[in-house]
Amino acid sequence: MSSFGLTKFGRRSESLLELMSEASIACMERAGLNGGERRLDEIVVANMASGEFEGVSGIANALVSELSLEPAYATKVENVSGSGGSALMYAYRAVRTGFARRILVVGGEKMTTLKAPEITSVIASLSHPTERYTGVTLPAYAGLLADLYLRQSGAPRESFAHVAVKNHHNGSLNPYAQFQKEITVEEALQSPIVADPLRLYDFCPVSDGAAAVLLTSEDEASTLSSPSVEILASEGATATHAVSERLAQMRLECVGVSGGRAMKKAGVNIRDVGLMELHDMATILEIVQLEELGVFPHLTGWRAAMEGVTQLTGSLPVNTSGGLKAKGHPIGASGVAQASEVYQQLAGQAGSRQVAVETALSLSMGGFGNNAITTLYRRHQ
Amino acid sequence: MHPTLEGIEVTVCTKCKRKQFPARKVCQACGSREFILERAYLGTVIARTTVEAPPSGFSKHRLVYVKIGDVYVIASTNGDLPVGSKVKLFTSTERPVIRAVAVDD
Repeated sequence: MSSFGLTKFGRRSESLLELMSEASIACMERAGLNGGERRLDEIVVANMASGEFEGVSGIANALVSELSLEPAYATKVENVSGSGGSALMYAYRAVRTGFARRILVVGGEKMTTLKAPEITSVIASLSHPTERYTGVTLPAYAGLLADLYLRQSGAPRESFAHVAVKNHHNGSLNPYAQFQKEITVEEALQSPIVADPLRLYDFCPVSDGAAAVLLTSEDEASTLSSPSVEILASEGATATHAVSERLAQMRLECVGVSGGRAMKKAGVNIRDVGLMELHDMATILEIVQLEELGVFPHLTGWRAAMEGVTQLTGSLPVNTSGGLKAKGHPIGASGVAQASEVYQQLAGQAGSRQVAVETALSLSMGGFGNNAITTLYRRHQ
Repeated sequence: MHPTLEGIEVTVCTKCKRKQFPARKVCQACGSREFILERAYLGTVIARTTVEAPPSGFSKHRLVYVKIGDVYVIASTNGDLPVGSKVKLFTSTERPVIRAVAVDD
């Protein structure tokens, strides 16, 4: 991975195409790809629902033309909220196996064109019909999981608030984050209920934004002006479509499976990982994902944020970008934005949120534990 | 209001007896494609939540997660049903909307 580009996340006036163009140009310029040097083999676009949100299809073809990158091949990867992670995985495999030498991965979503109930409907369309028609939403899945988790683990309700407080602190240090303000545990606990027992500050916001990373072969990386970060492995897994089939176990099995596959392929132990960008659409998910990846035993991950383990200064910083919670969650962009954060951290470009680590992990999740992609990275040796 | 049927339809694999809800084309356990159907009616609430930000076409509502025999289901409900409540399930015939109603022990 040889460069990154990000737009600021939040409510943006620009179209999806303009946001993706902004991130792409920033990424290529950072790598010194200007003028005739801008040759790319492929552009892989991650996006969930440009048709539903903006009435636009063919976004990959539109982007390649907007950037005057024809005849590079362009395609779109759609894997709901895991689209960014999936696009990254496919691009990595294409470069790793020698099918391409330079691929621009661009993720983006323009969500604020619709009103809140319509946005909720678009996102809930990923659910199994028996659950969707019953009025289940993604936050409601999280509410049910949190209710079960609190009863079974004995965790205090404040443990979720500590995740939100931590991620808001990290977001306050990230110039691209949607929320650049700190919050307190008390504010989190007193915010309005969204899906009991979870409250407003337990959830990520609705966001517009785009992110881009440049994946190159090792030979190509040495010709660019930006530092490079090595991708060690990228692996995915799935779980049942109907969340009701697995919610009782309070697990996200596909996270554990994809993480295990990635670590095995990379020859990395979870104890070697020094930083994680997780898919904290809700605070409870960061907790359960830490358990699934083997950092904490089942039903004990709630201690991590409360005890400071996952803070910037802790032994395992998690979501240094602010996570989906504070950085924002433009759906198709999120997996690519996670890679962008890892790139900044491992290349020593993360500014006031910089941590010193050699190996990092990003977890992109599609749906409510329906699909997961774990990617492992290492500082260039 | 659409007509409703009592209970939910659970598929039972004729080869390995695995029960599945919702239905699939292929058995999760053994890969068989042969099933019989049975209806399940009564279950127990094991978690609950509220939907304060509903999708289009819905108003604010409550959901319960119900264990019913060997399977689990998410159902909507009118009142606040505490965890441990015994419920009877109903399924709309128009769309698979599942509702839970409290029953006396």
